[in-house]
Amino acid sequence: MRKKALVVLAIVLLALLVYLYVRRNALIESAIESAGTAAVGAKVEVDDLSLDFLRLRLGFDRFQVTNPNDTWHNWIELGPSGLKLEWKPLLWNRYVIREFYVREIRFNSPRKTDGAIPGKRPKPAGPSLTERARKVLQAKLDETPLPDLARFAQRRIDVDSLIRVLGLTTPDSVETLFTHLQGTAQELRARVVQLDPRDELERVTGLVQPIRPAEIRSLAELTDALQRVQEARNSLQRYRTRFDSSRAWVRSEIELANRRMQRVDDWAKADLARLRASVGLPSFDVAEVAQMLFGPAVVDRVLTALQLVEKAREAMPYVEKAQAFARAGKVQKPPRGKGINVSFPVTERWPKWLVRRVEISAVSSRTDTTRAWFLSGMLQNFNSNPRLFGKPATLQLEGRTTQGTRFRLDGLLDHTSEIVLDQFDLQVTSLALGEVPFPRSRYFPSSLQLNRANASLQFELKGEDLRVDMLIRCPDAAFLFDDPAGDDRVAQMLRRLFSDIRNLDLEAQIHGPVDHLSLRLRSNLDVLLSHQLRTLVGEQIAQAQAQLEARVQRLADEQRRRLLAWYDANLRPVAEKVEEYRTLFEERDKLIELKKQELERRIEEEKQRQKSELEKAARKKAGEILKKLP
Amino acid sequence: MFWLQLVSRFIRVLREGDSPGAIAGGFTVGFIVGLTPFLSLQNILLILLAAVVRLNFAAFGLAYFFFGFIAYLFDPWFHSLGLSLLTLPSLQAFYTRLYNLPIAPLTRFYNTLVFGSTVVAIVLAPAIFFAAREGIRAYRRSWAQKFQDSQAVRFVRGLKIVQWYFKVRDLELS
Repeated sequence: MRKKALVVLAIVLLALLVYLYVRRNALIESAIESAGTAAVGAKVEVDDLSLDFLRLRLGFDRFQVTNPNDTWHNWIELGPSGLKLEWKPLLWNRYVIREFYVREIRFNSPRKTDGAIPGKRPKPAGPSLTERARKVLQAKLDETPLPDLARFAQRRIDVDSLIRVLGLTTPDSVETLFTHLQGTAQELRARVVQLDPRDELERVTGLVQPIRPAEIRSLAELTDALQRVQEARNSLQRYRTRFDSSRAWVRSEIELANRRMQRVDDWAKADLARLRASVGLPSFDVAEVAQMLFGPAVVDRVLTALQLVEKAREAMPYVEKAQAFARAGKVQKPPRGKGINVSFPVTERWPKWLVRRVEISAVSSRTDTTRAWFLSGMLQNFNSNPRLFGKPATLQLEGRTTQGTRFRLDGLLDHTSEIVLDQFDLQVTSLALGEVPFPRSRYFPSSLQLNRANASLQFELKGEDLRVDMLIRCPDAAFLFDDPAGDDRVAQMLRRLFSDIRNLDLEAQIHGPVDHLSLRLRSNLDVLLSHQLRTLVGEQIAQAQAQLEARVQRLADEQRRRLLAWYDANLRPVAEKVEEYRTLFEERDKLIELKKQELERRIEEEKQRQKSELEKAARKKAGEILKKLP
Repeated sequence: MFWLQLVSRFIRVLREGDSPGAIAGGFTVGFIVGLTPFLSLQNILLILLAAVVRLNFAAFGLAYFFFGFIAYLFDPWFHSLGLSLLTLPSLQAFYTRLYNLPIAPLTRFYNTLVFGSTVVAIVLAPAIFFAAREGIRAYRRSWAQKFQDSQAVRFVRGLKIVQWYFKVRDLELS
């Protein structure tokens, strides 16, 4: 043993402990910031953290989580808050927060510095749920863009040149179909030649036709004739079975050809849609108006909610990383010097981190209470391994302002089973939603101001199935315009129309698997706007639309007529021939059946005749015997 | 300077001073700590052990830096080994028990890199120790003088930086 070394070691240890004690706040602050930043993908900052080592209490003056999509704003900012850790799990390298008190909370607060992480962000394995949903929903929104009315209000659309430039695909599709049908027709004709049953039927007829049951006298001859009829019937049956199977094939081919020919209408519709989309022809259908106006704003908010839920899923995964890749049979390559942590079943049900309870009794701004939110609520059971912990995380949050706005948010993050379920129910009363921006357009409003709106939102993400139902009722809405209308008649009229609108009811539904979402929006303005827009700029659009429809329809009719004529010339005779053969079979079948019945009747008659003759002979014999008796 | 000091001390202790066992022990502990990720309970204990027991620090330091570099090269392999060992079905009960003991998780044995490199370090440690001890003995017995007289050493000694180092060292001593 080195005595000197022991002394030096003791001094070093003491120095280390002193250093750790003095720097404890900065060290923990830095650890929380790096872990949070890694999890969120943007800066997470803690200010003025203080640790009461003996009581395991931790407090801080400010906690900011940057919005990774807008790094100059925070997702959430907490004011002075405190939490209490449990000591026992620390021995197992687990961090369990028993209670977390929040007294000041702000959402979407501006940042003084950029919260982006410098350098490249690690590439995710594949597109996130939000990205997939964004792609699908954006495609839906692209189907109903806010139309550039100036194009239609000021000039006529030259449909002929449009068709010349863009071309129609229907004729090419019909030509391809023709090539295919020619082959089918050739094959069918060859099959029908093989199908011709006349020789076989003649043979069968030759067996049955000469039999004249009325002229046959003996029972033996009659039985023999019946035998021959039965054989003829069996032969006919054999031919018929073969014929029926071929006939079924021919009929199915003809039906298939028929169905293919009917696709002309679909091709024409697709051509029409393509032409309309190319020229940007709006239909102003009642069903599309709400999507056109409010779609982008609604989709944007739903995607924000989805992104938050996705972040929660990443933080609280059902399967931990190591298990996930072991299950997928992949070998994961962690960064150098890091490795990955493998989890084992635990007897103490502590995940790596667990927040048992967050108590919120907070205000969003202490300086301006007239605009502040007073929040109260509870978050429970947030943890890194919900499967292990076995209880879902829950959230209840209520808020109100001095102006009478209220909201209630109930949430459930159930990641305890394989099909992960995230649910939120938000009810808002008398909320000033502020200005909702619209896509920039000369004719349409630049934004919508919703003062005192009542809203409800049901959000459910089960596995990858999304279900969002949103309802907004606002009796005090105002459409705002950035630029003056000028002399444009259409712009002036639209402005008058939007200015008169005060009441807005909007319903939005986004349902389905993330890759096949359906988007449906309805509002109380749909009918009115659709009607007014059609009246204002509808003449040119309707004209162009009608011309396009007529041209495409004419083309479709021509192609349909051509196909029908071809069908009549090629496939109909095939079908008729097959039916003719079937009739021949039935005729022969009837003939054989008739002969059979006639023969059976004759056999029965002959049997009766022979029987009565025998009886007669027997009676005569018996009389003779009786006469001979004494 | 630090490097020169470390190498110089190491060469000197190879020739004279601590026993071959103490030098080999320091080298082996340095090997284990260098090969495995630094922040784990077992490494802290090993460093304390090296400080308390008569192990040679120069050998420890040199082995630590050298095998730290080797560990970096072998990092993916240690990860794969750790992963395959930690997911061995027959050992799951043992790992589970260990995982549920207090303090044991602080060793971070459940980390693939920590476990893989620690297993390799433990398996090779006896061989490293005996090889180092025998090497030092052999060096002292027959190679020390040859090494000192070799052209390579003379060349290194003749380098300006080394000359300068000797001057500074002698100043420190005086």
